[in-house]
Amino acid sequence: MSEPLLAVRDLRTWFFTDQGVAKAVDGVSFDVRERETLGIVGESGCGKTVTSLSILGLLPQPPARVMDGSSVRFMGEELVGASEDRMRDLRGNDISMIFQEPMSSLNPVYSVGGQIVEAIRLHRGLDKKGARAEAVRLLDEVGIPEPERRIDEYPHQLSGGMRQRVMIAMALSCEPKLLIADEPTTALDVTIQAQILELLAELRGSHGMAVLLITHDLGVVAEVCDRVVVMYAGQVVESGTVHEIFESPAHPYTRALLASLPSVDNPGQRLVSIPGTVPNPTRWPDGCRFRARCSEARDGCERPQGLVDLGAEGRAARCWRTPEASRVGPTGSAS
Amino acid sequence: MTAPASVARERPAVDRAGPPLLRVRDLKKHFPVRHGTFGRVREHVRAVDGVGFDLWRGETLGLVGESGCGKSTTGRALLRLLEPTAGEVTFDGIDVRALDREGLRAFRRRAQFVFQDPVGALNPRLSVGAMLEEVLEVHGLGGPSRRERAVQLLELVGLRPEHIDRYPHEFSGGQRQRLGIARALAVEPELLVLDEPVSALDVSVQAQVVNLLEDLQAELGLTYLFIAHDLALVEHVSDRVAVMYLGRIVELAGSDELYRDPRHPYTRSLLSAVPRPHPAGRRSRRRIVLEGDVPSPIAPPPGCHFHPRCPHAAKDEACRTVSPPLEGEAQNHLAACHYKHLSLETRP
Repeated sequence: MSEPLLAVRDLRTWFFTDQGVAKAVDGVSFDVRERETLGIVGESGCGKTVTSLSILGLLPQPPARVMDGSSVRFMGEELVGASEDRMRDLRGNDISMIFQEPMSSLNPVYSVGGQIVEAIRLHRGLDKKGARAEAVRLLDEVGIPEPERRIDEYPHQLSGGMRQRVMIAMALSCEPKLLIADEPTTALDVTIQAQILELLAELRGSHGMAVLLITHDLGVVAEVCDRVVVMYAGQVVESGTVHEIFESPAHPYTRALLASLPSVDNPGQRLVSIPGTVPNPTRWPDGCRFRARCSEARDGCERPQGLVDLGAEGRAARCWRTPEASRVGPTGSAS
Repeated sequence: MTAPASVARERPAVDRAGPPLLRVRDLKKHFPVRHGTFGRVREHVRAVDGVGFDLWRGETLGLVGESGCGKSTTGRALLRLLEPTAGEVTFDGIDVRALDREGLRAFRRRAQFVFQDPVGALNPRLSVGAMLEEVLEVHGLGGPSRRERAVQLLELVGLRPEHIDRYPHEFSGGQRQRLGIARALAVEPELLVLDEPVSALDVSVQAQVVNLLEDLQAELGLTYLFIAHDLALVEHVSDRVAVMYLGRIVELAGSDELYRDPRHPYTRSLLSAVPRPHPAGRRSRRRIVLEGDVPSPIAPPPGCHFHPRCPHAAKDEACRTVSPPLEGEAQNHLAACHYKHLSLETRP
C-alpha cells in the first residue's frame, strides 16, 4: 500500500486553562488515503473538531498546544512545527476546509464573487478577468443557478444551502487534494443536506480529492463515507470501513450510539440511551474512558488500554472486552 | 456481546371517538413587514397560512417540516404566545382566542410549552428550587409544601433531590432539558407543546429525554404536540404526523402509514432525503433530490405552494392555479395534492 495522503499519529492537542489541562485530543491516529472519504464521528466534546483544526494549524497557541510526539504528515511532509508561512501556503493550495456555518466564514461586506476571485488570484496567479471567469465556472459547477448574476450578490442575499455551495466553490478554487468538511450540512434542512452531500460526492469523483468529513450524524456517515473513525473523550475508540462500523461494531460505545438512533426503518421500539454524560476533559478516567457509562464494563476495564488491531487493515477498537484485546494484553495506552 | 436489546414500546390506544382535546381550524399567523422611513406595512410574512388539525387526549401529534415552514409559529399561536391573525382554536370546548387575561392564565395551567433551548428558557439567577417554587406560586399551587413539590418534580424527570439548590449552568444539556420539562409539568398540564425539545442534544442524551417524555406521557396521561425537523425522531414518538410546507399542512396521517406510503410529493422527497444509518442500502435507495430552495413566505407561489419544486410528472395548470385541499379517501390519511393517488412518475 502506498503512503497515505494524510497520516495522523498520536496527535495530542491539550488546552492549558485556569481550570486545568483539558486533553481535548489525546493520542489520535488515523490515515486518509487518496480519493477516499474518511468520516470522523462522535458527540460534542469528543475532540473531532479540535483534531481537524490541529491538522490545519488553526488553533490559537496558547491556550492550545500540540504536544511533543504528535505527528501530522501530509504527502510525506511533517506539518507539526511547520512555519506559519508554509501552513498558509498549504491551506490555500493542497488542503481546503469548509465549516458548519458558511455565513460566519464569508465576509458580509464583499460580494461572493469578490471573495472567490480574491482566493483564485492569491493561489492561482490569474489576472482579474481570468479569475472572474474561473469564479463563474466554479459557481456553475457547484450548482448555483445564474452564476453570472449571483457572483455579484452578497452573502446575506443567499440561502443557507447556496452559501454552503459558495464555500465549496471557494474550497475547490485551488484544486485541493484534501477537503476537510466540518459538519458541512448540520445547519441545513434535510432536503438541502441531500443536495450538498450529493454535490460533495460528485466533486470528489471529478476532482479526485480526498474528503475528511467531521460529523455527529451517523446517517450522513453511512451515506457518504468509505471508512470511519469513531471518537470518544479525545481518543479513537474504533475504526473500520463504513460496513464494518455499521454492521459489526466492535466497541460498546459505537453499538450504543447506533442503538440510540430513532430510525425511520424500525419505529415502535424504545430507544436505547447511554446513561450519564461525557467525563470532564481535565480529568479523564484511567483505562477505558467509556467504562462508567458502559453496560459491558467489568473489573479490569480500568487498566491502561490502547487501540487493538482486529485483523483487517485499518480495523481497530479500544475495548478490553474484544477477544483480540485479551489476547494481546495491556499494550500501554498511547497517551 | 450484543447491543442492549431494544424493548418494544407499549402505547395505549388513543380513543378518538369523543371530541378532540384540541381542535384547530384555518389558523393563520401573518407578520407585518415594515418598509421605508415611515414603517408602512406593505406586505406580510404568511408564516402560518391556514392550518387545521385535531388532537385527542393521550395522543402525540408530530408536526414536521423544514426551517421556516411555520411549525414553531403554529405551536406558539395555539397557546397564544403569539396572537393568531385568524382561525379557531378550541381546547376542551373552550374558545382559546376569546379568553381574557384570567381565562388565559387558567388555560396555560392546562397547556404548557417546552422550548428547544433549555439554557435560554431558564433564568440563570434562580436556583432550580426557586424557579419551580416561583411557577407554583404564580399559579397558586403547592401551598406551604412548595419545596416538597419541587423535589417531587425533580424526581419525576429523573433528577436528584439534592439538585434543588443548584443553578442552571451547573447542569448538562440533557439535564437542563429535564428541568425545562419539570417546569412545564409543575402546573400539572394536560397538553404539552414541545418545540424541538431534543434537537440541541447529542443522540445518546436525546434518547434519554425521548424515553423520559414517553414514560411521563404513559404515567400522567399527557397529550403532546411534538414539533421537530427530525423525521425519524418524529415517527418514533408520534401516533400521527402532520407535514408542513410554507405555512400549510400538506399531509396528515398515522405515523406508520405516512412513512410507509407517503402521498404528497413533498413528503416523499423529504423522506427520501433522510440519511439512513445503513451503508449497505445506499446504492439501492432512490433519492428524490428537490431542486432549489423554499420560496419566500412573503409571496408564496399561487395554487399549490409546492408546485415550483414539485417533481411529480402529473404537474399541470391546476397545480399552478388551484390550491389543493387537505383531504383523503380515508379519514386518517389526508394529503393536499391534486395527484396524490398517482405515483410520482405517472401522468394522468
